[in-house]
Amino acid sequence: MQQQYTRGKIKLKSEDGTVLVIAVFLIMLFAILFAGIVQLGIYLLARDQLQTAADAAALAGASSGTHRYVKINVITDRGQRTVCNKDECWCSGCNTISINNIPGDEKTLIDEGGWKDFCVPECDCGGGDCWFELVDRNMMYDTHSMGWGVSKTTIDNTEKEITEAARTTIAEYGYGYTSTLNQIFKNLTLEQISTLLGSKNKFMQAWMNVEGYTYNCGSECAGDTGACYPCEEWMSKGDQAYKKVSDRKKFVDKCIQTMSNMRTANSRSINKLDEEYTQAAGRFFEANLPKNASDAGIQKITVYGYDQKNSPYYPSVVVYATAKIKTMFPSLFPNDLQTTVCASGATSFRDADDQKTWGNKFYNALTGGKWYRVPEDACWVDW
Amino acid sequence: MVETVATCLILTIIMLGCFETFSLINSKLKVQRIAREGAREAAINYNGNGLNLAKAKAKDIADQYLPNTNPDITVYINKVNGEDANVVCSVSLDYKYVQFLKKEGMGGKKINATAIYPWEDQT
Repeated sequence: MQQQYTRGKIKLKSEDGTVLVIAVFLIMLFAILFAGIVQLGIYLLARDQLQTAADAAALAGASSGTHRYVKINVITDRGQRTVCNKDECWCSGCNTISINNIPGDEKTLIDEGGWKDFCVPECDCGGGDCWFELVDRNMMYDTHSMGWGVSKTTIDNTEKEITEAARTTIAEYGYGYTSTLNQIFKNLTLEQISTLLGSKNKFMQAWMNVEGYTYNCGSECAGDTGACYPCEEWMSKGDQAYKKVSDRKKFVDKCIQTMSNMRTANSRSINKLDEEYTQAAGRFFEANLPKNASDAGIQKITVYGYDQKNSPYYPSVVVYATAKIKTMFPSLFPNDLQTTVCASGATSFRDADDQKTWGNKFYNALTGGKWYRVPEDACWVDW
Repeated sequence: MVETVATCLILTIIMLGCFETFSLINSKLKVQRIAREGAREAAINYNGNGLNLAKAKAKDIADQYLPNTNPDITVYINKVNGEDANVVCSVSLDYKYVQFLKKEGMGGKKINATAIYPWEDQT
């Protein structure tokens, strides 16, 4: 006979099947747990892939069109020169020439030895030396070319500085004729100096004009004015001076090219640069596009460039990206979960002031010194 | 009794499934992170020794995240028009199923992840 059980007021004949009920309940619970784990996994994986894409994009931004801009002084110790009196000749100390505050990008000016173009030749007894000192160093992004402070006036002033440096270098290079060469090149632009150095005729015309002689001494030697010999002597000096300085044309042309590059960079419109910049970040984002998400894209890019030099986030680029993650179990979880990630890409460069504590007489690429303070993580600051 | 045993069996299988799924997802996440960190290391150490540093770093992270798994790590530079364009870090892991039951696992699958980062070249 079956035993009867009483539960409350309901009389149960048996507990057969209760395990089944519990089992179904537990299986459903575990199935939901399983679905939750799978969905969470997909979410985390997609988010991680999105993070990789955003990270690559931020780094692409931070490394795209970056320039280490430096200002240097180039100092030439010209060694010794021959000094003679009526009995003997000896070597005596020559002067030291310093060309200060030369701006440029570190790669060209220092790493590739461009600074050597600002060295003037040593004096004729030899023993000279040429080195550079670091004045300042900054990191700049192309996107902020208009906000760098490199206004047209600054560029013009830089060109004036470089032109003056080129004039000094050429005049000193033509040692023995320095004063006359200074007169010839005074107030000339780099292009005009290059033209003079590239054409002996034009150089000689300018040279003869300094002393008021005609080209080739045509008038002076036409009649018996007594001016023919001094004119020809002056012409001969001009010939020697030209031989000394004409090979400096390459140096002047390089200065012209430097200025041209600087002006080109500075004349770009902000919009165009932003577009280029976005493309750089976008390309690397696309290359790492999350496989487990849809509608992934960059939402916002923030650049902490030179115009925010005092910001704790300078110099860095921040990328915010979002993606939708498809739900495998739409009845259990909301469809198309959206996630946003942030990645910060920092650009590093060595601190100029710290570099100077190790000495300030350099010949090669600067690899010493501490890194400039690492920018703070700017993620979510402006989201 | 039979019901209880059957239920326990099913629940155990589901739990093992949950555990295995969790483990697989975890490995996928770790492989993705190894690829990312490797590529990042290569990208920021652009001055010559970047690839070796990147591989070493990726291996270090792999040893921390996925000890004794020895994933295959490849780091190389993609060139465009003869110039360094980007750096790629690929990680491939032979994932073995139910390793907690059997050391060599019961079957498995390859988990791959790739990260493509810019090759930083400052001027």
